[in-house]
Amino acid sequence: MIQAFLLRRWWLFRRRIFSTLTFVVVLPILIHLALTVGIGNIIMETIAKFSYQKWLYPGLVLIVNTVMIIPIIYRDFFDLRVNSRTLITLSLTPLSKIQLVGFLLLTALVEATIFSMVAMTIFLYLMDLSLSMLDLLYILVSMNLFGLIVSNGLITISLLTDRINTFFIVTFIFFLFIIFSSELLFEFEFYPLRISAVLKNLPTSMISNWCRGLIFNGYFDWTFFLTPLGIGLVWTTINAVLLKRTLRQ
Amino acid sequence: MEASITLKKVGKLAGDKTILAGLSFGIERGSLVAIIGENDAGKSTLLKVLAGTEIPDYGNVFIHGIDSTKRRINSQSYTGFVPFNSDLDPFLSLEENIRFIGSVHGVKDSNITSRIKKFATDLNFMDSLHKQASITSPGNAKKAMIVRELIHDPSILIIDEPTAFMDARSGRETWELLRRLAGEKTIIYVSQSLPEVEQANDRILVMQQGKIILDGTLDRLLESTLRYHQFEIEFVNLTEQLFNKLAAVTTVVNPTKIGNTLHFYGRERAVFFQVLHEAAGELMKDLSVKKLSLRDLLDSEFAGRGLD
Repeated sequence: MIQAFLLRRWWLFRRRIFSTLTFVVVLPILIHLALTVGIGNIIMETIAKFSYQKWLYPGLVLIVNTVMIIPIIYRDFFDLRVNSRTLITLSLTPLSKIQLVGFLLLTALVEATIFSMVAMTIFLYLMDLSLSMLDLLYILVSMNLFGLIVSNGLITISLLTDRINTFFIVTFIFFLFIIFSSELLFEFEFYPLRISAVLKNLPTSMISNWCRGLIFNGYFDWTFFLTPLGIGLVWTTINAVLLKRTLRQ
Repeated sequence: MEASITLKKVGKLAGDKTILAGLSFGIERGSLVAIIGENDAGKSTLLKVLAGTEIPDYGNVFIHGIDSTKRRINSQSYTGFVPFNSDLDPFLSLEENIRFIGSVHGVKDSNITSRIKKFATDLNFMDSLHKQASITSPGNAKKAMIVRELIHDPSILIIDEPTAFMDARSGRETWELLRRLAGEKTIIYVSQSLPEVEQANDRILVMQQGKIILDGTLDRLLESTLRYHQFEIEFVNLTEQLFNKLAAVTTVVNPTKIGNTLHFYGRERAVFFQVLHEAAGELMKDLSVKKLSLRDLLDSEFAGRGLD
């Protein structure tokens, strides 16, 4: 069954190959110019004396991954529900709602991961970094875990909104919140203690911490790995129920 | 005959308004059933409830004996639903749309290919299969939607306006296909095209305000009107005085004046001669007499209070 959804992704990609590839190449370059170059001149090292560029790298990849996921989820869960109503037709196939949400989400993660891998390579070149294959593998895993949480958030927004303006405003706020609350660009030590104490417990923060813990300290924190994974899976189930209610089925 | 679909007191509400008012009926396997009626009668909602895109507020729908609300996944493998407007994925081609849904239903690739070829040839749109759904004509999109819903070989096909957006030839080809499929599949459709419904000539359900007010074959529905005729006489000058005089003929039913034309119904052709007799001396331009059709039956005047 998943092959059908993967094949659909390929068909969709094939139809917008040039625009997608341009986006995939230009986005990391723009992010590098806008963020890395500027901030890299202000912050040289992290508080724990690690290279800031190396510390920032996973955060930048997660930001790119989040940007890649937004149009995919918008298309599948908002546009195909509100405008073309294809999602309603899909809901009439012998798929359960959890399967439907799961397959669309899983293939969105696959697509975003492939595009983000291109961005990872471009960042490595532009930032002149060298990371081991294992480090890159950790980043790939954290990217998917992060994508699971972000995608679920976006699916919830897509299913709860019926107007495109509302969708984009809420998504923009959600995106900004994710960027500045997940320790992607700045360490929590720069934030007031009370705020950082709360933000540290967000699943997205746990993922970036899990990834950096592995890259810089070689420590696998099971809590930071399993908690976001569990939240992501539960959230997917909740979204399946939400889809059922939204479609009034 | 075995029932394909059974409804037991199925109701649907929208706020205070009743959309479907406790409908109970069965549809036999292999039958071709038309649902007609005025706007807002609940026809499309009934189709959606049968297809499973909406659940009833009360009552049960059984598809081949399976409760469609409790065992939705099982029941939906038996049905295919073609809505009125296009619900194709606009970024995929027509063929990709069909292939994707076929694959999700678990149909083998070889079967998908052969069915697409067969039905697209029948509906004469093979050349448009590669076109992106967002830029294809609405008529071809409708054909693709029909093929998409036939791809998993459902035993029940539910269609909202089968020939909507299609040209005359495409409409004929679509009906040829549907008539060929009827018997093998149960086909339930909503249509505002009454000549099409009359030609299909199977069971017809007439809906009004969420209820089924008439149910039967075309001949049976028209039974009550078979002896009625519709008459039109165009005068050179139909004055109010003349109209009132002719309308007063006791055997004239529902007389109306449209410009200089008198329009009325009568049980026997003799009524026509009585009217001509009353109108003796007046200049006439044209005359027409015809038997009543489904359209006349559905005319709000009749639906509301009947001919008598």
